Amino acid sequence: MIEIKDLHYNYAGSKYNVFDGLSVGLDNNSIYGLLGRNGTGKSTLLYLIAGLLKPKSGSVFTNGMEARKRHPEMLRELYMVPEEFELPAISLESFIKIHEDFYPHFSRETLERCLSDFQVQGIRSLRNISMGQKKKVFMSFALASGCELLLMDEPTNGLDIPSKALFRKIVAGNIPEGSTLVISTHQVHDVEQLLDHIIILDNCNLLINASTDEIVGRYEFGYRMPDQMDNNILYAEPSLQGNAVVALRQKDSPETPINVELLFNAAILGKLK
Amino acid sequence: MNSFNIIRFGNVLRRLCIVRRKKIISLTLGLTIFFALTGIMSIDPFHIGPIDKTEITIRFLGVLGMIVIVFSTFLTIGGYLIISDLNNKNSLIDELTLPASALEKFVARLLFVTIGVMLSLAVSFLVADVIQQLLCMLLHAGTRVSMLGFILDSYPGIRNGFGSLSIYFIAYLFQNSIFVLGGVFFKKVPWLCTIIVLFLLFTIISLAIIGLVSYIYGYTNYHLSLPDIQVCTPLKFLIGAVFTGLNYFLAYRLFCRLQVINNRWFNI
Repeated sequence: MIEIKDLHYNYAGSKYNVFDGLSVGLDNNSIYGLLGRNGTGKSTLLYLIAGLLKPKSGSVFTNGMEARKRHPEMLRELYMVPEEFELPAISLESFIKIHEDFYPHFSRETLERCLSDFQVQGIRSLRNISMGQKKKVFMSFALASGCELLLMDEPTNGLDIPSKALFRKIVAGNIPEGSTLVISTHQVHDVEQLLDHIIILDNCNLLINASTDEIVGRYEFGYRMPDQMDNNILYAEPSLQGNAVVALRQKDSPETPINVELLFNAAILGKLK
Repeated sequence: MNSFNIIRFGNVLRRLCIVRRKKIISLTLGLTIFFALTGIMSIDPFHIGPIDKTEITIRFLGVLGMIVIVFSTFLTIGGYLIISDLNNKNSLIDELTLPASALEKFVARLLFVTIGVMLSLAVSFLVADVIQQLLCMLLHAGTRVSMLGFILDSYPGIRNGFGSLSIYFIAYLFQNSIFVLGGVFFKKVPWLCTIIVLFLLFTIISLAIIGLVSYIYGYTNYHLSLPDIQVCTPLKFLIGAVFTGLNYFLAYRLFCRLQVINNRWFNI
Protein backbone atom coordinates (compact mmCIF):
# COMPACT_ATOMS: atom_id res chain seq x y z
CA MET A 1 0.00 0.00 0.00
CA ILE A 2 2.65 2.55 1.06
CA GLU A 3 6.29 1.90 0.32
CA ILE A 4 8.91 4.35 1.55
CA LYS A 5 12.51 3.66 0.56
CA ASP A 6 15.61 5.52 1.66
CA LEU A 7 13.72 8.74 2.21
CA HIS A 8 15.71 11.92 2.73
CA TYR A 9 13.94 15.16 3.41
CA ASN A 10 14.74 18.58 4.82
CA TYR A 11 12.87 21.84 4.56
CA ALA A 12 14.29 24.51 2.25
CA GLY A 13 16.82 26.65 4.06
CA SER A 14 17.17 24.22 6.94
CA LYS A 15 20.25 22.07 7.53
CA TYR A 16 18.30 19.79 9.82
CA ASN A 17 17.28 16.54 8.11
CA VAL A 18 13.77 15.54 8.98
CA PHE A 19 14.33 12.11 7.43
CA ASP A 20 17.70 10.58 6.74
CA GLY A 21 17.29 7.30 4.89
CA LEU A 22 13.91 6.26 6.31
CA SER A 23 12.50 3.04 4.89
CA VAL A 24 9.13 1.71 5.99
CA GLY A 25 6.20 -0.13 4.48
CA LEU A 26 2.55 0.21 5.46
CA ASP A 27 0.13 -2.58 4.59
CA ASN A 28 -3.51 -2.53 3.61
CA ASN A 29 -6.35 -2.96 6.04
CA SER A 30 -4.64 -1.61 9.16
CA ILE A 31 -4.87 1.35 11.48
CA TYR A 32 -1.45 2.86 12.07
CA GLY A 33 -0.54 5.15 14.94
CA LEU A 34 2.28 7.51 13.98
CA LEU A 35 3.89 8.85 17.13
CA GLY A 36 6.84 11.03 17.92
CA ARG A 37 7.97 14.12 19.74
CA ASN A 38 7.29 17.61 18.42
CA GLY A 39 9.24 18.30 15.28
CA THR A 40 10.18 14.70 14.49
CA GLY A 41 8.34 14.78 11.18
CA LYS A 42 5.00 13.07 11.76
CA SER A 43 3.01 15.61 9.74
CA THR A 44 5.85 15.81 7.23
CA LEU A 45 5.62 12.06 6.67
CA LEU A 46 1.88 12.30 6.09
CA TYR A 47 2.46 15.11 3.58
CA LEU A 48 5.10 13.04 1.79
CA ILE A 49 2.75 10.05 1.58
CA ALA A 50 0.00 12.29 0.17
CA GLY A 51 2.37 13.83 -2.39
CA LEU A 52 2.05 17.26 -0.79
CA LEU A 53 5.83 17.43 -0.36
CA LYS A 54 8.53 16.07 -2.63
CA PRO A 55 11.40 14.06 -1.16
CA LYS A 56 14.95 15.32 -1.62
CA SER A 57 15.90 11.76 -2.46
CA GLY A 58 14.43 8.31 -2.06
CA SER A 59 10.94 7.28 -3.03
CA VAL A 60 7.45 7.25 -1.63
CA PHE A 61 4.98 5.00 -3.41
CA THR A 62 1.31 5.09 -2.49
CA ASN A 63 -0.87 2.39 -4.02
CA GLY A 64 1.91 1.57 -6.46
CA MET A 65 2.14 5.15 -7.73
CA GLU A 66 4.82 7.66 -6.98
CA ALA A 67 3.23 10.03 -4.47
CA ARG A 68 4.99 13.19 -5.65
CA LYS A 69 3.41 12.91 -9.09
CA ARG A 70 -0.09 13.26 -7.56
CA HIS A 71 -1.85 11.08 -10.09
CA PRO A 72 -5.65 11.49 -9.93
CA GLU A 73 -5.92 7.68 -9.66
CA MET A 74 -3.89 7.84 -6.44
CA LEU A 75 -5.61 10.93 -5.07
CA ARG A 76 -9.12 9.54 -5.44
CA GLU A 77 -8.19 6.70 -3.08
CA LEU A 78 -6.56 9.05 -0.57
CA TYR A 79 -8.15 11.50 1.85
CA MET A 80 -6.26 13.72 4.22
CA VAL A 81 -7.71 15.27 7.38
CA PRO A 82 -5.11 17.87 8.37
CA GLU A 83 -4.67 19.24 11.86
CA GLU A 84 -5.99 22.62 10.80
CA PHE A 85 -8.23 23.22 7.84
CA GLU A 86 -10.76 25.63 6.42
CA LEU A 87 -14.12 24.79 5.04
CA PRO A 88 -15.55 27.14 2.39
CA ALA A 89 -18.40 29.38 3.54
CA ILE A 90 -21.07 27.45 1.65
CA SER A 91 -23.90 25.12 2.57
CA LEU A 92 -23.10 21.54 3.59
CA GLU A 93 -25.13 20.27 0.64
CA SER A 94 -23.06 22.38 -1.78
CA PHE A 95 -19.85 21.13 -0.19
CA ILE A 96 -20.95 17.55 -0.66
CA LYS A 97 -22.08 18.12 -4.25
CA ILE A 98 -18.83 19.74 -5.37
CA HIS A 99 -16.66 17.04 -3.82
CA GLU A 100 -18.54 13.73 -3.96
CA ASP A 101 -17.99 13.23 -7.69
CA PHE A 102 -14.24 13.10 -7.17
CA TYR A 103 -14.49 9.98 -4.99
CA PRO A 104 -15.99 7.00 -6.80
CA HIS A 105 -16.77 5.12 -3.56
CA PHE A 106 -18.38 8.06 -1.80
CA SER A 107 -21.41 7.06 0.29
CA ARG A 108 -24.08 9.52 1.35
CA GLU A 109 -25.46 6.92 3.70
CA THR A 110 -22.14 6.68 5.55
CA LEU A 111 -21.93 10.46 5.68
CA GLU A 112 -25.41 10.80 7.17
CA ARG A 113 -24.64 8.07 9.69
CA CYS A 114 -21.34 9.70 10.76
CA LEU A 115 -22.90 13.14 11.02
CA SER A 116 -25.67 11.66 13.14
CA ASP A 117 -23.22 9.76 15.35
CA PHE A 118 -21.17 12.94 15.81
CA GLN A 119 -24.44 14.74 16.64
CA VAL A 120 -23.97 17.37 13.95
CA GLN A 121 -26.68 16.16 11.58
CA GLY A 122 -28.57 19.45 11.91
CA ILE A 123 -25.80 21.53 10.33
CA ARG A 124 -26.87 23.09 7.04
CA SER A 125 -24.27 25.80 6.52
CA LEU A 126 -20.51 25.60 7.06
CA ARG A 127 -20.38 29.33 7.57
CA ASN A 128 -20.78 29.93 11.28
CA ILE A 129 -19.97 26.65 12.99
CA SER A 130 -17.30 26.03 15.61
CA MET A 131 -13.93 24.45 14.93
CA GLY A 132 -14.98 21.22 16.64
CA GLN A 133 -18.10 21.00 14.51
CA LYS A 134 -16.08 21.64 11.34
CA LYS A 135 -13.74 18.84 12.35
CA LYS A 136 -16.64 16.43 12.82
CA VAL A 137 -18.08 17.35 9.42
CA PHE A 138 -14.69 17.01 7.77
CA MET A 139 -14.00 13.63 9.39
CA SER A 140 -17.48 12.41 8.47
CA PHE A 141 -16.74 13.31 4.86
CA ALA A 142 -13.36 11.56 5.05
CA LEU A 143 -14.97 8.33 6.28
CA ALA A 144 -17.76 8.62 3.70
CA SER A 145 -15.27 9.11 0.86
CA GLY A 146 -14.61 5.38 0.81
CA CYS A 147 -10.91 5.96 0.14
CA GLU A 148 -8.42 3.14 0.59
CA LEU A 149 -6.04 5.42 2.47
CA LEU A 150 -7.07 7.90 5.14
CA LEU A 151 -4.48 10.16 6.69
CA MET A 152 -5.42 12.01 9.87
CA ASP A 153 -3.19 14.54 11.57
CA GLU A 154 -4.18 15.06 15.21
CA PRO A 155 -7.80 14.08 14.57
CA THR A 156 -8.98 14.48 18.17
CA ASN A 157 -7.60 18.02 18.62
CA GLY A 158 -10.48 20.38 19.11
CA LEU A 159 -12.99 17.63 19.98
CA ASP A 160 -14.76 17.77 23.32
CA ILE A 161 -14.33 14.87 25.76
CA PRO A 162 -17.48 12.93 24.77
CA SER A 163 -16.59 13.36 21.09
CA LYS A 164 -13.18 11.77 21.60
CA ALA A 165 -14.89 8.54 22.66
CA LEU A 166 -17.35 8.95 19.79
CA PHE A 167 -14.44 9.35 17.42
CA ARG A 168 -13.12 5.88 18.23
CA LYS A 169 -16.54 4.32 17.84
CA ILE A 170 -17.32 6.13 14.59
CA VAL A 171 -13.96 5.39 13.00
CA ALA A 172 -14.09 1.72 14.00
CA GLY A 173 -17.64 1.40 12.70
CA ASN A 174 -17.29 3.31 9.44
CA ILE A 175 -13.78 2.86 8.13
CA PRO A 176 -14.14 1.38 4.65
CA GLU A 177 -13.46 -2.32 4.30
CA GLY A 178 -9.84 -3.00 3.39
CA SER A 179 -8.78 0.60 4.01
CA THR A 180 -5.68 1.84 5.76
CA LEU A 181 -5.86 4.62 8.30
CA VAL A 182 -2.75 6.45 9.47
CA ILE A 183 -3.25 8.62 12.55
CA SER A 184 -0.56 11.03 13.62
CA THR A 185 -1.18 12.15 17.16
CA HIS A 186 0.14 13.17 20.56
CA GLN A 187 -3.16 12.27 22.19
CA VAL A 188 -2.40 8.55 22.37
CA HIS A 189 -5.10 7.78 24.92
CA ASP A 190 -7.73 8.93 22.43
CA VAL A 191 -6.73 6.41 19.80
CA GLU A 192 -4.75 3.58 21.40
CA GLN A 193 -7.70 1.20 21.39
CA LEU A 194 -8.07 1.66 17.63
CA LEU A 195 -4.51 0.95 16.60
CA ASP A 196 -3.32 -2.23 14.89
CA HIS A 197 0.19 -1.00 14.31
CA ILE A 198 2.48 1.51 15.98
CA ILE A 199 5.24 3.55 14.38
CA ILE A 200 7.41 5.74 16.61
CA LEU A 201 9.78 8.26 15.05
CA ASP A 202 12.59 10.13 16.76
CA ASN A 203 15.57 12.09 15.39
CA CYS A 204 15.30 10.71 11.84
CA ASN A 205 15.10 7.17 13.21
CA LEU A 206 12.36 4.61 13.27
CA LEU A 207 12.29 3.48 16.91
CA ILE A 208 9.33 1.15 16.65
CA ASN A 209 7.52 -0.27 13.66
CA ALA A 210 5.44 -3.17 14.92
CA SER A 211 1.90 -4.42 15.16
CA THR A 212 0.15 -4.20 18.50
CA ASP A 213 0.03 -8.02 18.53
CA GLU A 214 3.81 -8.17 18.24
CA ILE A 215 4.21 -5.55 20.95
CA VAL A 216 1.94 -7.24 23.46
CA GLY A 217 3.57 -10.55 22.58
CA ARG A 218 6.99 -9.15 23.40
CA TYR A 219 6.26 -6.75 26.26
CA GLU A 220 3.93 -6.60 29.20
CA PHE A 221 2.45 -3.44 30.69
CA GLY A 222 1.31 -3.06 34.24
CA TYR A 223 1.83 -1.56 37.65
CA ARG A 224 4.31 -2.80 40.20
CA MET A 225 5.00 -1.80 43.75
CA PRO A 226 8.62 -0.94 44.59
CA ASP A 227 9.21 -4.37 46.10
CA GLN A 228 7.96 -6.07 42.92
CA MET A 229 10.54 -4.57 40.61
CA ASP A 230 12.73 -7.19 38.87
CA ASN A 231 15.27 -7.54 36.07
CA ASN A 232 12.64 -8.00 33.38
CA ILE A 233 11.51 -4.43 33.76
CA LEU A 234 12.78 -2.31 30.93
CA TYR A 235 11.25 0.99 31.94
CA ALA A 236 9.25 2.31 34.86
CA GLU A 237 7.71 5.59 35.79
CA PRO A 238 6.03 6.52 39.06
CA SER A 239 2.27 6.77 39.17
CA LEU A 240 -0.48 6.88 41.77
CA GLN A 241 -0.99 3.10 41.46
CA GLY A 242 2.68 2.33 41.94
CA ASN A 243 5.26 2.17 39.15
CA ALA A 244 3.89 1.93 35.65
CA VAL A 245 6.25 -0.51 33.97
CA VAL A 246 7.16 -1.97 30.61
CA ALA A 247 8.73 -5.37 31.05
CA LEU A 248 9.75 -8.24 28.86
CA ARG A 249 6.85 -10.65 28.70
CA GLN A 250 7.51 -14.05 30.14
CA LYS A 251 6.47 -17.16 28.24
CA ASP A 252 3.57 -18.08 30.44
CA SER A 253 2.39 -14.60 31.31
CA PRO A 254 -0.93 -13.47 29.93
CA GLU A 255 -1.02 -10.67 27.40
CA THR A 256 -1.60 -7.24 28.89
CA PRO A 257 -3.34 -4.30 27.23
CA ILE A 258 -0.88 -2.00 25.57
CA ASN A 259 -0.07 1.30 27.26
CA VAL A 260 0.99 3.38 24.28
CA GLU A 261 2.14 6.36 26.29
CA LEU A 262 4.42 4.20 28.42
CA LEU A 263 5.70 2.40 25.34
CA PHE A 264 6.42 5.74 23.71
CA ASN A 265 8.35 7.07 26.71
CA ALA A 266 10.35 3.86 26.94
CA ALA A 267 11.16 3.89 23.24
CA ILE A 268 12.24 7.53 23.25
CA LEU A 269 14.62 6.86 26.14
CA GLY A 270 16.04 3.83 24.35
CA LYS A 271 14.93 1.38 27.02
CA LEU A 272 13.31 -1.19 24.77
CA LYS A 273 15.22 -4.28 23.66
CA MET B 1 -2.93 7.61 -16.79
CA ASN B 2 -5.64 10.01 -17.97
CA SER B 3 -4.17 13.50 -17.66
CA PHE B 4 -7.21 15.39 -18.98
CA ASN B 5 -10.70 14.06 -18.41
CA ILE B 6 -13.36 16.50 -19.58
CA ILE B 7 -15.95 15.41 -17.01
CA ARG B 8 -13.48 15.64 -14.18
CA PHE B 9 -12.32 19.01 -15.54
CA GLY B 10 -15.92 20.19 -15.44
CA ASN B 11 -16.17 19.14 -11.79
CA VAL B 12 -12.91 20.98 -11.01
CA LEU B 13 -14.14 24.13 -12.74
CA ARG B 14 -17.51 23.98 -11.00
CA ARG B 15 -15.84 23.53 -7.61
CA LEU B 16 -13.44 26.40 -8.29
CA CYS B 17 -16.26 28.76 -9.29
CA ILE B 18 -18.21 27.93 -6.13
CA VAL B 19 -15.23 28.12 -3.78
CA ARG B 20 -13.93 31.39 -5.27
CA ARG B 21 -17.27 33.00 -6.03
CA LYS B 22 -16.89 35.40 -3.10
CA LYS B 23 -13.73 36.80 -4.71
CA ILE B 24 -15.26 37.28 -8.13
CA ILE B 25 -18.46 38.74 -6.67
CA SER B 26 -16.52 41.24 -4.55
CA LEU B 27 -14.37 42.17 -7.57
CA THR B 28 -17.47 42.64 -9.73
CA LEU B 29 -19.27 44.65 -7.06
CA GLY B 30 -16.26 46.86 -6.43
CA LEU B 31 -15.80 47.57 -10.12
CA THR B 32 -19.53 48.16 -10.59
CA ILE B 33 -19.49 50.74 -7.81
CA PHE B 34 -16.41 52.42 -9.28
CA PHE B 35 -17.77 52.56 -12.86
CA ALA B 36 -21.23 53.58 -11.65
CA LEU B 37 -19.88 56.41 -9.48
CA THR B 38 -17.63 57.58 -12.32
CA GLY B 39 -20.57 57.57 -14.70
CA ILE B 40 -22.93 59.24 -12.23
CA MET B 41 -20.48 62.02 -11.41
CA SER B 42 -20.19 62.67 -15.16
CA ILE B 43 -23.91 63.30 -15.67
CA ASP B 44 -24.06 66.38 -13.42
CA PRO B 45 -26.12 64.70 -10.66
CA PHE B 46 -26.60 67.94 -8.70
CA HIS B 47 -28.48 69.61 -11.54
CA ILE B 48 -32.05 68.37 -11.97
CA GLY B 49 -33.62 69.24 -15.27
CA PRO B 50 -33.12 68.77 -19.00
CA ILE B 51 -29.53 68.55 -20.20
CA ASP B 52 -27.97 68.41 -23.62
CA LYS B 53 -26.55 65.06 -24.76
CA THR B 54 -23.45 66.82 -26.02
CA GLU B 55 -22.73 68.17 -22.55
CA ILE B 56 -22.88 64.65 -21.09
CA THR B 57 -20.63 63.37 -23.89
CA ILE B 58 -18.05 66.09 -23.14
CA ARG B 59 -18.13 65.12 -19.45
CA PHE B 60 -17.63 61.46 -20.35
CA LEU B 61 -14.57 62.49 -22.33
CA GLY B 62 -13.06 63.74 -19.10
CA VAL B 63 -13.39 60.39 -17.35
CA LEU B 64 -12.82 58.16 -20.35
CA GLY B 65 -9.09 57.98 -19.70
CA MET B 66 -9.57 56.87 -16.11
CA ILE B 67 -12.15 54.24 -17.07
CA VAL B 68 -9.90 52.83 -19.78
CA ILE B 69 -6.89 52.78 -17.41
CA VAL B 70 -8.79 50.95 -14.66
CA PHE B 71 -10.39 48.57 -17.15
CA SER B 72 -7.15 47.70 -18.89
CA THR B 73 -5.21 47.51 -15.60
CA PHE B 74 -7.54 44.89 -14.17
CA LEU B 75 -7.64 43.10 -17.52
CA THR B 76 -3.86 43.05 -17.68
CA ILE B 77 -2.91 42.15 -14.15
CA GLY B 78 -5.94 39.98 -13.38
CA GLY B 79 -3.81 36.95 -14.24
CA TYR B 80 -2.02 37.28 -10.90
CA LEU B 81 -5.19 35.98 -9.20
CA ILE B 82 -4.53 32.49 -10.56
CA ILE B 83 -3.41 30.98 -7.23
CA SER B 84 -4.02 33.94 -4.93
CA ASP B 85 -6.44 31.80 -2.85
CA LEU B 86 -3.71 29.19 -2.19
CA ASN B 87 -1.94 31.45 0.27
CA ASN B 88 -1.94 29.08 3.22
CA LYS B 89 -1.24 25.44 4.04
CA ASN B 90 -4.89 24.50 4.43
CA SER B 91 -6.02 25.71 1.04
CA LEU B 92 -2.97 24.14 -0.59
CA ILE B 93 -3.81 20.77 0.97
CA ASP B 94 -7.38 21.05 -0.37
CA GLU B 95 -6.15 21.91 -3.84
CA LEU B 96 -3.24 19.51 -4.15
CA THR B 97 -5.16 16.49 -2.80
CA LEU B 98 -8.18 17.10 -5.03
CA PRO B 99 -8.42 14.00 -7.24
CA ALA B 100 -7.77 15.66 -10.57
CA SER B 101 -4.69 16.09 -12.72
CA ALA B 102 -2.51 19.18 -12.41
CA LEU B 103 -3.43 20.08 -15.99
CA GLU B 104 -7.15 20.08 -15.24
CA LYS B 105 -6.66 22.19 -12.12
CA PHE B 106 -4.38 24.63 -13.94
CA VAL B 107 -6.64 25.04 -16.96
CA ALA B 108 -9.64 25.60 -14.66
CA ARG B 109 -7.74 28.33 -12.81
CA LEU B 110 -6.50 29.84 -16.07
CA LEU B 111 -10.04 30.05 -17.42
CA PHE B 112 -11.13 31.59 -14.13
CA VAL B 113 -8.58 34.41 -14.32
CA THR B 114 -8.95 35.06 -18.06
CA ILE B 115 -12.59 34.56 -18.91
CA GLY B 116 -13.76 35.04 -15.33
CA VAL B 117 -12.03 38.39 -14.90
CA MET B 118 -13.12 39.51 -18.40
CA LEU B 119 -16.73 38.61 -17.62
CA SER B 120 -16.50 40.34 -14.26
CA LEU B 121 -15.23 43.54 -15.91
CA ALA B 122 -17.83 43.34 -18.68
CA VAL B 123 -20.74 42.70 -16.31
CA SER B 124 -19.65 45.42 -13.87
CA PHE B 125 -19.30 47.96 -16.68
CA LEU B 126 -22.64 47.07 -18.27
CA VAL B 127 -24.48 47.17 -14.95
CA ALA B 128 -22.83 50.49 -14.06
CA ASP B 129 -23.81 51.84 -17.47
CA VAL B 130 -27.43 50.83 -16.95
CA ILE B 131 -27.42 52.43 -13.48
CA GLN B 132 -26.01 55.73 -14.72
CA GLN B 133 -28.44 55.81 -17.68
CA LEU B 134 -31.42 55.19 -15.39
CA LEU B 135 -30.29 57.91 -13.01
CA CYS B 136 -29.61 60.25 -15.89
CA MET B 137 -33.12 59.70 -17.29
CA LEU B 138 -34.58 60.36 -13.82
CA LEU B 139 -32.59 63.53 -13.21
CA HIS B 140 -32.52 64.98 -16.70
CA ALA B 141 -36.01 64.36 -18.09
CA GLY B 142 -35.25 61.29 -20.16
CA THR B 143 -31.86 62.32 -21.54
CA ARG B 144 -29.33 59.52 -21.48
CA VAL B 145 -25.98 58.64 -22.99
CA SER B 146 -24.51 55.15 -22.81
CA MET B 147 -20.89 54.97 -21.59
CA LEU B 148 -20.42 51.81 -23.63
CA GLY B 149 -21.68 53.47 -26.80
CA PHE B 150 -19.45 56.45 -26.13
CA ILE B 151 -16.36 54.22 -25.72
CA LEU B 152 -17.16 52.27 -28.88
CA ASP B 153 -17.42 55.57 -30.77
CA SER B 154 -14.15 56.80 -29.27
CA TYR B 155 -12.31 53.60 -30.28
CA PRO B 156 -13.55 52.79 -33.80
CA GLY B 157 -11.11 49.88 -33.99
CA ILE B 158 -13.34 47.91 -31.62
CA ARG B 159 -16.34 48.34 -33.92
CA ASN B 160 -14.40 47.06 -36.93
CA GLY B 161 -15.35 43.51 -36.07
CA PHE B 162 -13.63 40.21 -35.56
CA GLY B 163 -10.23 41.21 -36.98
CA SER B 164 -9.69 44.09 -34.56
CA LEU B 165 -11.14 42.18 -31.62
CA SER B 166 -8.86 39.25 -32.28
CA ILE B 167 -5.83 41.58 -32.22
CA TYR B 168 -6.95 42.98 -28.87
CA PHE B 169 -7.59 39.44 -27.58
CA ILE B 170 -4.13 38.23 -28.61
CA ALA B 171 -2.52 41.26 -26.98
CA TYR B 172 -4.63 40.61 -23.86
CA LEU B 173 -3.50 36.97 -23.76
CA PHE B 174 0.14 38.00 -23.99
CA GLN B 175 -0.17 40.40 -21.07
CA ASN B 176 -2.30 37.94 -19.14
CA SER B 177 0.30 35.19 -19.59
CA ILE B 178 2.99 37.39 -18.02
CA PHE B 179 0.89 38.02 -14.92
CA VAL B 180 -0.23 34.40 -14.74
CA LEU B 181 3.42 33.38 -14.67
CA GLY B 182 4.14 36.05 -12.06
CA GLY B 183 1.10 34.97 -10.05
CA VAL B 184 2.34 31.38 -9.90
CA PHE B 185 6.00 32.26 -9.35
CA PHE B 186 5.76 34.87 -6.58
CA LYS B 187 4.23 34.05 -3.21
CA LYS B 188 3.80 37.55 -1.83
CA VAL B 189 2.18 40.48 -3.68
CA PRO B 190 2.68 38.78 -7.06
CA TRP B 191 1.22 41.62 -9.11
CA LEU B 192 3.71 44.14 -7.69
CA CYS B 193 6.67 41.76 -8.00
CA THR B 194 5.73 41.03 -11.61
CA ILE B 195 5.50 44.73 -12.44
CA ILE B 196 8.89 45.36 -10.84
CA VAL B 197 10.47 42.48 -12.77
CA LEU B 198 8.91 43.72 -16.01
CA PHE B 199 10.19 47.22 -15.33
CA LEU B 200 13.69 45.90 -14.67
CA LEU B 201 13.61 43.68 -17.77
CA PHE B 202 12.36 46.55 -19.90
CA THR B 203 15.08 48.84 -18.53
CA ILE B 204 17.83 46.28 -19.14
CA ILE B 205 16.63 45.48 -22.66
CA SER B 206 16.25 49.18 -23.51
CA LEU B 207 19.72 49.99 -22.21
CA ALA B 208 21.14 47.05 -24.16
CA ILE B 209 19.47 48.22 -27.38
CA ILE B 210 20.57 51.83 -26.83
CA GLY B 211 24.07 50.64 -26.10
CA LEU B 212 24.12 48.49 -29.23
CA VAL B 213 22.78 51.27 -31.46
CA SER B 214 25.25 53.78 -29.98
CA TYR B 215 28.08 51.38 -30.62
CA ILE B 216 26.98 50.72 -34.19
CA TYR B 217 26.63 54.39 -35.02
CA GLY B 218 29.60 55.54 -32.99
CA TYR B 219 32.21 53.01 -33.90
CA THR B 220 31.15 51.45 -37.19
CA ASN B 221 30.02 52.58 -40.63
CA TYR B 222 26.84 50.50 -40.46
CA HIS B 223 23.33 51.89 -40.36
CA LEU B 224 20.29 50.25 -38.81
CA SER B 225 17.04 49.82 -40.73
CA LEU B 226 13.85 48.07 -39.72
CA PRO B 227 12.48 45.39 -42.08
CA ASP B 228 9.39 45.96 -44.20
CA ILE B 229 6.24 46.57 -42.09
CA GLN B 230 4.38 43.85 -44.07
CA VAL B 231 6.84 41.26 -42.77
CA CYS B 232 7.14 42.89 -39.35
CA THR B 233 3.54 42.49 -38.20
CA PRO B 234 3.18 38.70 -38.71
CA LEU B 235 6.61 38.29 -37.14
CA LYS B 236 5.48 40.28 -34.10
CA PHE B 237 2.44 38.05 -33.78
CA LEU B 238 4.54 34.93 -34.07
CA ILE B 239 6.98 36.09 -31.40
CA GLY B 240 4.08 37.17 -29.19
CA ALA B 241 2.34 33.82 -29.62
CA VAL B 242 5.53 31.91 -28.82
CA PHE B 243 6.15 33.94 -25.67
CA THR B 244 2.51 33.66 -24.61
CA GLY B 245 2.63 29.89 -24.98
CA LEU B 246 5.96 29.72 -23.19
CA ASN B 247 4.66 31.80 -20.27
CA TYR B 248 1.59 29.62 -19.84
CA PHE B 249 3.70 26.47 -20.09
CA LEU B 250 6.18 27.70 -17.47
CA ALA B 251 3.29 28.71 -15.22
CA TYR B 252 1.86 25.20 -15.56
CA ARG B 253 5.21 23.57 -14.72
CA LEU B 254 5.51 25.78 -11.64
CA PHE B 255 1.95 24.89 -10.64
CA CYS B 256 2.88 21.20 -10.83
CA ARG B 257 5.77 21.85 -8.42
CA LEU B 258 3.67 23.52 -5.71
CA GLN B 259 4.23 22.05 -2.28
CA VAL B 260 2.21 22.44 0.87
CA ILE B 261 5.12 23.93 2.85
CA ASN B 262 7.50 26.36 1.20
CA ASN B 263 9.51 28.88 3.18
CA ARG B 264 10.84 30.73 0.15
CA TRP B 265 9.32 33.87 -1.34
CA PHE B 266 8.86 32.14 -4.68
CA ASN B 267 7.19 28.88 -5.61
CA ILE B 268 10.05 26.68 -6.76
